Amino acid sequence: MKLKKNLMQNLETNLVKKIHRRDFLVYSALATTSMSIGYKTNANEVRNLLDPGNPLMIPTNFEPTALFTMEPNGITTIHVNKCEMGQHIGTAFAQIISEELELDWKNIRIDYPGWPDNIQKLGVHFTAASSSISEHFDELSRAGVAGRIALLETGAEILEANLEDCIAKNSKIIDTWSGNSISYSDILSQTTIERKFDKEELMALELKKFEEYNLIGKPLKALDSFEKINGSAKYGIDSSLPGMIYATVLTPPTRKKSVVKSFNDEDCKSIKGYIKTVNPKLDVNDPQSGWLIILAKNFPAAIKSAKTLKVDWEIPQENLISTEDLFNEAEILTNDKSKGAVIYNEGSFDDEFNKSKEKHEAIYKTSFVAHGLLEPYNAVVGKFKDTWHIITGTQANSFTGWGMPPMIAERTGVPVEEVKLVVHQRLAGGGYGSRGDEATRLALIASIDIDKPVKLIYTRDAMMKATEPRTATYQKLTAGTLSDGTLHSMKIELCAGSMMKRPDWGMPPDFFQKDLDGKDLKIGAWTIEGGDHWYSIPNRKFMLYENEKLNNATPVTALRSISNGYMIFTVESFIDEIARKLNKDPLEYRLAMLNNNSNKISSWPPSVENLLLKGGEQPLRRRDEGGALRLKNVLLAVAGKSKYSINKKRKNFGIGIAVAGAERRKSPTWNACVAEVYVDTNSGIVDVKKLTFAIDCGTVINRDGAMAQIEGSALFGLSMALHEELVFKNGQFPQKNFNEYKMLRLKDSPKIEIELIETGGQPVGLGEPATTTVAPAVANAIYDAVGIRIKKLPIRPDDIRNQLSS
Amino acid sequence: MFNIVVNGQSYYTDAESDTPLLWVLREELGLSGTKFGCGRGICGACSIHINGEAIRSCQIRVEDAVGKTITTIEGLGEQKLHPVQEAWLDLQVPQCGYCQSGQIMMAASLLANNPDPTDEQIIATMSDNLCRCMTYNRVKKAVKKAIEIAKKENA
Repeated sequence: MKLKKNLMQNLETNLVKKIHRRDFLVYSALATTSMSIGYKTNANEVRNLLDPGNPLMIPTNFEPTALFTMEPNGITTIHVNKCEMGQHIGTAFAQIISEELELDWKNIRIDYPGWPDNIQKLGVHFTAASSSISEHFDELSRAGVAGRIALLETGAEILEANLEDCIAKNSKIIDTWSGNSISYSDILSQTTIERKFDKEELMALELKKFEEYNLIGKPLKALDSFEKINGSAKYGIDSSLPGMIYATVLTPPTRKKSVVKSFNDEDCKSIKGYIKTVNPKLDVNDPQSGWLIILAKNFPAAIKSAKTLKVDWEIPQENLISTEDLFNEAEILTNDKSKGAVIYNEGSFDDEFNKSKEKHEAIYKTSFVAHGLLEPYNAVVGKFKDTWHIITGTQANSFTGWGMPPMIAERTGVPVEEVKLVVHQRLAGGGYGSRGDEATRLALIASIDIDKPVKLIYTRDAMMKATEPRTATYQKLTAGTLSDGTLHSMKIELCAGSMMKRPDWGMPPDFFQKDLDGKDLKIGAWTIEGGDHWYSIPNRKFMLYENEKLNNATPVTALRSISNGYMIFTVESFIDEIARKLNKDPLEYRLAMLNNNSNKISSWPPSVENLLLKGGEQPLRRRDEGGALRLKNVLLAVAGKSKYSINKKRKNFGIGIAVAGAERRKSPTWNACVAEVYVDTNSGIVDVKKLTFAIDCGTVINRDGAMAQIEGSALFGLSMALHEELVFKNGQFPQKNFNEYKMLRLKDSPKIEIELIETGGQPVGLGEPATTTVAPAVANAIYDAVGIRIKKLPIRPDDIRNQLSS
Repeated sequence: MFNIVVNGQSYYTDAESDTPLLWVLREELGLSGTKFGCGRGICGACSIHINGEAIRSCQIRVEDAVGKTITTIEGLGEQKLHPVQEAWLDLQVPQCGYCQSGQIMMAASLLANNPDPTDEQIIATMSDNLCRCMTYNRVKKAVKKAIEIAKKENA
């Protein structure tokens, strides 16, 4: 008791000192840029359990913007409205804010707010398309500057110094004239700050210049790495709620459109812990139609029960097809011009192609690819009092917040406007474009059904069968060259599945581009990006044929770098193929075509593109400045770094090059790759010896994190190039586990060298782009080594053997 | 009812005898640092130490773990970071981090059995564990770094 009394006295003494502190109020619009700083009264009153008549005074925090909170004890927490899935985004955000706020790096924390807090204060939570840094750089910088100005002005006043003499450094305001200083935490403990930034003033704030950066660019250790090496990091799958039961899923015989006719769980009842099976009865067009949810007291019992359950499904006979059938369909489609949507048409391909000296044609195919997340889909869902809680690691926390209430309303009868929901954001054990509401909605359905909190986890088998893969593609490329070898006309005809048109996504029509022929065929950017390459070819055309048969058979979705993955493979292979046919050096051939600065092409409608570029209400800083010249630059850099030459021959060794501006024309990361390979002509096995990259991302935020993202992307790209083929057979993805769906392992990892080029421009993303150039660089290196052209992904030894023997 | 000893602590569980140890660790004992990846012993995310050997905890029944010394990632560097963890931090190996408990347990067991493994031995051992973020090149470097750290500590 005595101890507690002393504690109370200490608290009170502290409070006397802090009683004059004021709290900053923030009014922030969705994008938080129209931030204004005001103030309210003293510290908060809290009931004192020891002495209810004498309230405790809890000091409040400094929150000049919803992006961060400064505690009077000196700790600053950065609120990260993104999914942390390996990119250490919180560290990068913290570096950007700290740079302008002049924070002492030692006292920084990060957290991940959830719905609805995050959308009210920080805007839409959506983590995709390598856009986090480029979209939020300005906003984060400005928030830092505003906070610094407020602290500078107040600090100068306390120090009785001229504002002009004061500087902010290491969480302190220093009067350079007298040498006196005061820490941020002391300022926050003592004073009242009255400072308001209107939107105009915020936009006019002067940000540091590239050469003035102190923290930005440094290879600081990630703020989340310690928890990731001692087992304490909390992923969605590590969550729990009091009284929860466990669930897993049973997937039907076809990926889409199976329907449960009946099920019999008689045998499950002898399994200790089995509770019941729930049929969610989703619409036949829903990607989870025909699924069942098995509930048990623990997860192993749920798995056992799922294996024991007897189910009678109605199977859609028309869906009992394979990848080969989808390619056949693609061949038929691409031979029927009336089915194609024209995406761009510069010059006149149809006329000029006929005039060419030499004509080139090729068919390229890429398989389905799985995300292979190591953390299976999972969610913990439960209702406490009148509020639903969802705990999960999602790439789109806001979509969960918007999407789940209607489902809750429909299944509980509570009017949708009365549904209360909190979506707690956790770390994700890999994302790569796939982590959404797959498990959440099923856990929710189960929890509503049984009226208990539910923890639902997919088995690996279900993860594989339930894949929403990167679409398989069939691509027809046609080109004409002039007598001097100039590439004068080129046409890409892409046949693929569409993710943006998935009925369950409900993308608004405004998000689609119209086709140029006015056929009313909507074009989804995420199917075509990468086909809008930077080469100056006077007559070029790009057409999309939607493979409806594929769309009916499986949902497809984004996978690391989305369509760039397959488009850049074909474009960069085909250009190489033409150069080789004409006996030109593929490097020289590319360099000659990279001279166009203009950027008229956009894969999104202008309104959406503006939204994406501005990231809400940011002042527009061009990310594509320099255009194709920056691609030329990285090509030259990678050639130099790798000592690229196609003239020094060792038998069956080869070198290949590729270049790309992924993620998209208006937001490119300039990326070039050289692959060095050895091809074993007996086995057809490709041994990649080394990958070299030159990448220009404008401004590097964290040098070590940037390198890590590129290293990982490079190997992810190599894994997709050499190992990963998601088989589609009889309407489903039959591979059950990582022994059948093979991904790259350490023993197959080549040496990687990276040159990061900083031009000081707007920073752009590094999470995905390097995945895109690996497959074409390797394929082009195989040609250099043994003279065969790879036209199919993944690259298979038998394909190489067959081509070598014919 | 089974009695198992994990990280030096004694626990009782009423799990069924054939329950994979992984689920007892994660869901009953709250030691969630050990991860579920494939359930078939292929990915290595659930690697722990049993009597000093790296074992896939999804492949061992709780009944068979009775009387054994079990160490999970939470118990590896309890007093002081293990050299492998130190090296992992120093070289910033983790990206998403999900597989890293398993990677670290594999590397720690490799070093316990062979304080000076060759590159080939490192590659062979660590190739058993999948990392979808593909942090492999740093894993390789970090194992070598851990060897140096351990040598210094023992010198």
